[in-house]
Amino acid sequence: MAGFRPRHPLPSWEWPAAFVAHGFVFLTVAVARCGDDGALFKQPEPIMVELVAASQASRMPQRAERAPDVHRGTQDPDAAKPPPNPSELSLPTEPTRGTQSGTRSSLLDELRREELLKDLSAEVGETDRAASSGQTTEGAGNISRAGVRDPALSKWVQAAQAVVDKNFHPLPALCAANRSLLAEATVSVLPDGTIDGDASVSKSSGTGTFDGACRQAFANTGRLPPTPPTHPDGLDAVLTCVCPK
Amino acid sequence: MTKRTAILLGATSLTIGVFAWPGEAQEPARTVVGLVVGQGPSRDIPIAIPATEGSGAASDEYLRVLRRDLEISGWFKIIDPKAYVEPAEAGVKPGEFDFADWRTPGAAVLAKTLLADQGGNQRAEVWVYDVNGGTKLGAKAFSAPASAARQLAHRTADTIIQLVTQEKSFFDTRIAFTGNFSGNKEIYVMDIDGGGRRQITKNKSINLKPRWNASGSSLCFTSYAAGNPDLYVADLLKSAIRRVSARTGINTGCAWAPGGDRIALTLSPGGDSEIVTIDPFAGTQIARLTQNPGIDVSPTYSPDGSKIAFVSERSGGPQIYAMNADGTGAKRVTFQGSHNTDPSWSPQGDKIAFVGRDGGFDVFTVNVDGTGMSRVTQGRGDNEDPSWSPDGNYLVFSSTRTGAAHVWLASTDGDHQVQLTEGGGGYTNPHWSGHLAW
Repeated sequence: MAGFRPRHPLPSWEWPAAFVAHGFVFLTVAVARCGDDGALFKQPEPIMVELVAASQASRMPQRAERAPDVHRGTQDPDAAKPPPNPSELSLPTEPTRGTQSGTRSSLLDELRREELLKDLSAEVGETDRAASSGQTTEGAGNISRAGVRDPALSKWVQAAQAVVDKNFHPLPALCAANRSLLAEATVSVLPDGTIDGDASVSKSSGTGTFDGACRQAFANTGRLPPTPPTHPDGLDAVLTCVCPK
Repeated sequence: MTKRTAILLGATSLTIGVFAWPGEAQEPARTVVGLVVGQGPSRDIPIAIPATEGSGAASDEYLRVLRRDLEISGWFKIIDPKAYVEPAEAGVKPGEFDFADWRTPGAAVLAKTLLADQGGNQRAEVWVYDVNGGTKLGAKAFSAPASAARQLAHRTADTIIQLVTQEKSFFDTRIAFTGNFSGNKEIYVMDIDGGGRRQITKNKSINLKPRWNASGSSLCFTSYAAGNPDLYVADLLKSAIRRVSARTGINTGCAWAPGGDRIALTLSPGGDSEIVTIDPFAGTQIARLTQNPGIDVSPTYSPDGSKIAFVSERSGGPQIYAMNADGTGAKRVTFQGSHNTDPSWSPQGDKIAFVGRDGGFDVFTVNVDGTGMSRVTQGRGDNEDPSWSPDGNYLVFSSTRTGAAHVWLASTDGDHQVQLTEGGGGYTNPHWSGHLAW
């Protein structure tokens, strides 16, 4: 039996070559590790768990509270509007009218008229017309403080106003030319609501046609609601006429 | 009691008696209340229109049309002639009658008319008075062939409205529509009051969506006369109809550019409907304006021709969009509701009317920037195909609120609504012309 002999004794040049090759590999790994400031395989960050109070189940928000729908397709972000549901497509409470020309004078006229209307149609009561502005008519010192102090009279004023308003027809052409027209007509009202005699113009608008329409509003009305029990002897009424919207 | 004491007591009693004597009772102050009127809109102005001086059926027809026009306008309420107290011998000119006779029935405006034969023509005269002021507002005379009594009445109505309101009226316009009166859908034209109907097509087919050009001389519409929905143009002055687009697929929803040099319409070149512009004479395509998956239909030009509103499904359901007339810069206009169609751009350029589905179909208006949506009709049948009056204060549309489809007119605030057509219905696709010279 032959003695043990290495099958392939390494040649003398292979030992240095193997040494250089291994040295190269170690050197490469060492350089790579120096360039990395962390581990080669980082541990994942621990999951932060925070205990919070579990909320109670709540229903889906109502339609009105929902965020606006995201619409598909391209659209201008500036044009994005919240999409109310179809039931919100309702008739406006205020009728929309054609806009007036934007000239300064017409805007001023409109402002003045709005101011008048706001003042004239103020709540009858502590803040009624005579109290809320310095504008008065003859005998305005006697204008009743109805409303809070006299609810029955306040109600009568509203009812009478509604009836007379239906019979006030100034020419639209007149008001288109000057929206600030204002006239006042005075009448006596009998307890049963009958208008006693003809109305007299107590403050002229400066335009006979408009004054005539104001006076005629009473004439066409014929009869107002009976005066309230608190005024069994009747009333005097001052009608202030302004241009309709 | 001494004598002196008695005198003193007597004097004191006399003094007390004098001062305690009740004088004349002071009258309590009479209560004065303030009323304010003029806060409502100017509508239903009471107007008296006594019988037209003249004789014959022409006068009756003239007066009937005139009264109907004034009611349609919404400005006036005609006072019942039974309430008139003026004596029969009163005239029409100033000084020939007493204004007090017209204050009695409550008239604010008085319109007196004359109609007379004049060399084969009819001559109408109208005198308009402000009853409250006792002044003449104006007078005007018109002349027309004897067969045109209706047109004389329309001109008279325009004059009265102009004098009373200082606003240009619309009775010199017409409405084109699709009428289904004989089992076929034909194109017709009628006066604003629903009378004076003229049939434009007689092909016994389906003719839809007529649209006026700016001058009112031509109508474009879609017809199935050749089996396919093709686009036709009717020249109303020459009484000629020609086909201008017969491309494969649909050729529908036409709209004239304000200049009349092009028509926008919907074609379906690859099966998908897109908006293009074509030459109204040669029929050649000028430009393709949309290129989107989903429908793009129903174009309508802005009054200056710089923009086009249309319906697109690019965001899901049908909504109103507006783009530049070259197809660029499309922006969505409507965001309320899930189904908005049939846009119509207002003559003033600030609003778009459209049909929204809210249960039934209703007419709405919205500002061009998408704000200020407001409702014109509500909860009364289906209301479709809105079209603006030239002054932008009214809309016409078809409505089924009475059962059958009729043409209705509404003020843009929806307060005043009146049925224009009569009979058994079948009126759809109304489109309002501009002011016409014919």
